[in-house]
Amino acid sequence: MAIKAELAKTQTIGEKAVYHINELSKVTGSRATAYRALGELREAGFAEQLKEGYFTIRSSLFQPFNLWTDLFPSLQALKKARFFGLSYNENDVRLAQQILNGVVTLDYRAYELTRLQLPHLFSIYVDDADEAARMLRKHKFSEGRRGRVAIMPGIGSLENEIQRVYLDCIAYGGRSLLDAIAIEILHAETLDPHVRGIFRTEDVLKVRDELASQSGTRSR
Amino acid sequence: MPLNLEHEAAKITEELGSVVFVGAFAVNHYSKYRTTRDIDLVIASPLDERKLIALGYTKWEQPRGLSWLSPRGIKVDFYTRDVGGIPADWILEKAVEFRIGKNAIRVICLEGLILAKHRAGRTTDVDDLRQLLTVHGGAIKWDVMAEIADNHEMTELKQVSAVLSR
Repeated sequence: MAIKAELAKTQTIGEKAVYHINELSKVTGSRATAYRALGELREAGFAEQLKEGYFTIRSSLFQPFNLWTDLFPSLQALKKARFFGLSYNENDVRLAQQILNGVVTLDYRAYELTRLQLPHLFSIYVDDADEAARMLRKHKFSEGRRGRVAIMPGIGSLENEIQRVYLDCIAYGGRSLLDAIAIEILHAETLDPHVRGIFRTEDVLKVRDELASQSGTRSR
Repeated sequence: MPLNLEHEAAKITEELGSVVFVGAFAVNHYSKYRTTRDIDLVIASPLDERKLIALGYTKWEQPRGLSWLSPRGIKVDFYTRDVGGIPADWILEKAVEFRIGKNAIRVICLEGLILAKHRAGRTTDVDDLRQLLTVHGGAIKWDVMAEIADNHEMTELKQVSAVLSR
């Protein structure tokens, strides 16, 4: 599936915690077009429906349109993520780390790469999501929406692992954008120079300050 | 976890007295979430630079402005007037106290934190706001919120919290 260029128009909606379909209507010109656009945003992995008429948008929607193709595998994997919890705390992550095999991404991998932000959600690409789910259930995990363990199908290339974590962080959006900035600063040589996110200067300076204060150099 | 910001907050409170933690540290108090290694706080008295230096704090000039490093190397930003237009006096008066072992630590009240995040509106703030409203949207005291939010903000926050809160 390709993301339609017309969807880029929805970028003008601006960043908010929650949107109502009426706000999207103002951008698209009509309610019918707004519902169609919302459907396409959900299909692409940018939007998530809440209660009737309300939805959230990932901040990755506001990345340049030419990056959307690179973000697409990450967005699709995030869309298919399945969440599991047992104690709903850090212990769940420790147990999942022991019993699951796969490629770790987002919070926990970003923390290993950057030490910037404390991790929260343990996200892992697995070869067989059903098998991984069975394994978690065997250890008394329940599947739901709140768990701190997320298993995702390995959609797209995982070959350049750091590049994929970088794109996953941009696709996930929110606080993960800070992780993407830190990866770009610390691991620039491993990233494709033609595939880069766009970040606010304020966020870049914040990350640079944080990394400098950690390293003790205070002058990057 | 290698970093213990609660321990750092306890040390800062011990050193500086009447302070209230805001920002990501406060978000993490209400809802265990992600945070960077910096600390933002509101201080009751005007910033006494000589006192800070005597306590081992060091000034740190950076492109974004002046920050301080605590004696343990943690970046600290002080707010003396307001946070996102919320007066420092109000934040100090409504602060919520909790204990870590023998130490009492004060954080901004939930209503102040939510409004500050709503007003800031950056990507990370929107993320924090979603997290706070999802977990605590049902616990907001709207009479307290009305003391600092305007009518438009009240309407918007009530609507968003009704949609997000569990």
